[in-house]
Amino acid sequence: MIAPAFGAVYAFTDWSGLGDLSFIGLANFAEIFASPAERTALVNTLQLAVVFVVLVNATGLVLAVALYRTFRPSHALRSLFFLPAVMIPLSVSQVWRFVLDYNGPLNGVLRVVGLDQLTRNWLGDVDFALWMVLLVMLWQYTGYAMVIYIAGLASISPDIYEAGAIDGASPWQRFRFLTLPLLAPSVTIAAVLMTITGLGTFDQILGLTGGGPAGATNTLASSYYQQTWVNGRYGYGTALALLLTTLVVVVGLAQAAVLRRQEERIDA
Amino acid sequence: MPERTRPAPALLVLLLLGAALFAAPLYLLVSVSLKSTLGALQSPFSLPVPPQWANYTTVLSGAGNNISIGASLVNSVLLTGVSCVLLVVVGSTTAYVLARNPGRTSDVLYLLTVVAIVIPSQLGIAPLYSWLRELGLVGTPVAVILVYVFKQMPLSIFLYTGFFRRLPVTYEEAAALDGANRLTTFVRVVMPQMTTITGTAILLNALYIWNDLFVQLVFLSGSAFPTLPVAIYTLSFGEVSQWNVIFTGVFISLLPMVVLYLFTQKKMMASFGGGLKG
Repeated sequence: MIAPAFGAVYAFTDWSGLGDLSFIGLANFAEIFASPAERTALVNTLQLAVVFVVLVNATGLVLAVALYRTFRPSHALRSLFFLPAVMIPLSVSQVWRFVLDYNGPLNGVLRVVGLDQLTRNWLGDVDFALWMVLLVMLWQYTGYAMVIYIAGLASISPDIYEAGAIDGASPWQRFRFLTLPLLAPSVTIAAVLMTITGLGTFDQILGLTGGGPAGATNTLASSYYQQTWVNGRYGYGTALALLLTTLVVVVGLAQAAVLRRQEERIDA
Repeated sequence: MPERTRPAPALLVLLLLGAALFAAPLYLLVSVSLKSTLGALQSPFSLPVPPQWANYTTVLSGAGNNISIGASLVNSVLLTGVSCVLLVVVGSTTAYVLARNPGRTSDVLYLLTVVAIVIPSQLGIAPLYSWLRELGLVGTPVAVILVYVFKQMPLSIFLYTGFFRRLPVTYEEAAALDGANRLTTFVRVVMPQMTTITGTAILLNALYIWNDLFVQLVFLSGSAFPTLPVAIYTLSFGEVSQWNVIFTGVFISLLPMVVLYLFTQKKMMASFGGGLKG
C-alpha cells in the first residue's frame, strides 16, 4: 500500500528517476490530455476493455451452458477451453504473431480458399491491429470466464429447473428467467475481473505489436511502460499509471455496485 | 449434480468444430517448434516429419543466440517457488493476526487489502524501483521476489482471512489448554485445516508470478538473472522470423504450467471459478 501511495505522489512531479524532483502540479495530466498519442492510448484502453468484457462474458457463458452438463467429451472440452488461461500471455502472443503474420498460416488459409482479397498484414494494419489484440485476449480468457460461470451453474439447484419444466417453460425461457438471474453473482465476478484485465492490457500489446503501427495499438499500460522505462520520464509515466489506477478502481467499484444492486433486485 | 445427457447432434458438431478451431494455434505451436525455419513458413500445418529435435537442444542451451531458455527456466522456477513460499508464510500469519484480533484497526486493514488487490502494479513500481536500486538489488532475484511478495500479499491475506474467520476457535483453545504456545498452535493445529486455501493461494500466486511480464521486464531485462518472460521477449524480437526457434522457446516456457494444470485441473478450475472466494 505504501509504494502505490508514493507512486501517486510522483505523478505530480517531473522526476526523471535520478536526482532532484520538483512538484509541477497538474502539468503531467495536462500534457497527457493534450497529447494525441496518449489520447489514442486512452481511447484504445476503453474500447478494448468494453468490447473485451462483453464478448469474453458472452462466449464464456455460452460455453459454460453448453458444457455444464456431463456428456462424452464435455470434460475434455472444458479442459481445452481453459488451457490458454494458464499460459504466459507473452508466449501466447508469439504464437498469434506467427498466425497473423503476413506470410503466416491465416493468410495462407485465406489464399487456399480463394479469399485473397482479405489477406493483409493483420498486426500492421491500423484498422485491424487493435482488434487482433482483442482476438488473442478472447482466446486466452474465454475459458476463465467459462469456469466462473460453470461454478455458478453448479450452485443452482436442479429442482428449480424441474419446477420450470413442469410449468411448461421452453429451454430459452428457462435460461432467460431462471438460469440468468440466478447467475447474477457470477456475472458480477466475471465482469469485474475481466474489466480489470481488459483495462490493464499490456503483455499482449508488447508481444504482438509493440504499440504499433504508429502507436495505433498503445494502451495506457503500454504507453506508461514506454514513457517510464524506455524514455525515463518517471513523473509523467507515473501520471499515466495513476490515470490507469483511477480508471480501474472507479470502473471496478461502480460496476460491482451496479451489478450488486441488480442481484438484490433479482433476489427480491 | 448435473444430469448426464446427450446433447443434440448439431450442438455437438458445432462444439467440436469450435474446439478444433480453438486448438489450431496449439497444434501450430507444437508442430512448428519441431520444423526447420523454412518448413515453418512454407507448410505450417503439415506434420513435422522428420521432427527437428535439435531446435530444443539449441534453445535450451542458448547456443548461437546467447539466450539460454534452460537457464531462464531454472530462474523462473526459483523466483516462483521462493515467492510462493514467502507469500504463504507471511500471508497466513498476517491474516491469522487480523482474524483473531477483531476490532476497528483490523477491519480497516482488511478493507485496505481488498482495495490493494485491484490496484495495478504499475503505480507502485517506480518508487519500489528507486528504493531497491539504492539497495543495489535491481537485476537480482531478491528484488523481484520482494516486489511480488508486496504485490500479491493482499490477495493472500484476503484469501486466508475469510477462512480463518470461519474457523471455530475451539481447537485452538483446546491446544492452549494442553499447553501449546501460539506458534505451535498455529503451525500444528490451524494450518493443517487450511490445506484447501493454501492450495488455492499457491496456485493463484504461482500462475500470476510465472506468467507476469511487466515486473520481470522492468527489474530483470539485460540482467544476469533472466526469467522465462524476459528470455522469450528477447528471443522473439531478436530472432526475426525464426519461428521454429521462437516456438521452441515458447513451448518450453508454457510446458511447466500446462503440466501442473493437467495434474491439478479440478483444483485449478475451482480456484479460478470461485472468483476470489477461494
